[in-house]
Amino acid sequence: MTVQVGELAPDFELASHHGGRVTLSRFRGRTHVVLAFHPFAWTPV
Amino acid sequence: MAAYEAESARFERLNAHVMGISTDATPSKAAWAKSLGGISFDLLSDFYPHGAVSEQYGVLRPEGFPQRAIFVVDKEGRIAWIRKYELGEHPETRELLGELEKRVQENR
Repeated sequence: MTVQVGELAPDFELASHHGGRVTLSRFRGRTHVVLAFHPFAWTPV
Repeated sequence: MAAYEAESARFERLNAHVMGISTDATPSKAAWAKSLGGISFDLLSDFYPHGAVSEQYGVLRPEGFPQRAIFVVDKEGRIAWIRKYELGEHPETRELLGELEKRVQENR
């Protein structure tokens, strides 16, 4: 599966290291969101 | 993530909320953030169901972890920009900030 520019971003709810959970759609109408996917914590891979 | 943290004031000025996403568990990400001197952004765990969000965005590798990839979601919740990276390739923070700056100017 993949997403394309112009499509609605698939919504999600994930646990944050700050505690609690973060829902993408809560930022709609408020801010831009940068989703930075990365392989692993602790490593520069 | 440390590179983004260093630019956190600029992201804030551009009205952009940054989230790091990997399949690491929350305690591991919290310890990592502490070792980097604290990360104000949200580090999110795509841990269970394993890699489900990475899969949804098409960036889950066959080995079970996400490749490096940046998605900019605009204020309307639409995907505005996508950049995917090969393993070992690292995003240029400058490129991302430039992209956000362009969008802010267009919206004016």
